[in-house]
Amino acid sequence: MDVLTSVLFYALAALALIGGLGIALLPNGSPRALSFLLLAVGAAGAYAVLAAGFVAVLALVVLLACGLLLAPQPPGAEVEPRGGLGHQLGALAAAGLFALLAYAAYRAGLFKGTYSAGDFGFFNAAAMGQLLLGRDALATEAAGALLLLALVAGGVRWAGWARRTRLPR
Amino acid sequence: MTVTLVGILFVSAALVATGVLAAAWRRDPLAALAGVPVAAAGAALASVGVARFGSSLREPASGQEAAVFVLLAALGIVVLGVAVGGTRRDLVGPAVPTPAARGRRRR
Repeated sequence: MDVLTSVLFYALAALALIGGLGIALLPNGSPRALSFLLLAVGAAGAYAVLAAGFVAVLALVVLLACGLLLAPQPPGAEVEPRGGLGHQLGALAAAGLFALLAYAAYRAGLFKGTYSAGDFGFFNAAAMGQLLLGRDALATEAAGALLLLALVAGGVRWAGWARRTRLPR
Repeated sequence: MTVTLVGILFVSAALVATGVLAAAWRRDPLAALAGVPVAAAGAALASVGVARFGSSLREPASGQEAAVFVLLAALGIVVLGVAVGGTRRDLVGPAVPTPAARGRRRR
């Protein structure tokens, strides 16, 4: 990779990390929606720099959908109370996990592969289709079943909410 | 300065840890659910990095396929969690009592 591409990758990675930290720490509402947008743009851009156009488009759709679902302030919600000792221990455990993963990435023996997925095209939809619908069709069906279940549950919830709001008090 | 697999794994480790931080730090279960897509984005970045720098001729796009599965699973978990958690919140109120609710209960 040349220097310009490398700088672009690290800038996009920093954007994604800032978005992730905002999601973790900022309150619901507009700040969190902006954090989701930063995460989506940063992560999708990083995938695109690594020549994974298919994953970049999918990540943009998935992360923006998650932002639309999770960022809005629920009606009647107030400021979230501060975390207790357990939450602070959980935050310390997250820092420990980062240290462990970074150490593993630094110390592990990694071999450079002969071929890169980017050599076969930026979007590479044909290869992805062959893998998703051919070799790993069962896993694709499992992911589809999970999404179908989630959509049915979401539809049931929306129908219940719509029915309750239309009932006379 | 150039991007290597180690650098990509560093960034993905930071994203995964940030997702775990979001899940551990937030008290509201629906707010904690937002850690899932952040961690999934980190895991997908590691898979894409392997596909870019460490793949073989046999299946060079396998890492990208793994990233697709991780992202789809994260979306399914979030939609399912919002549906179940939101319904529970509608029926029995927020999981974390707010200060005003605690005051009302005391009275």
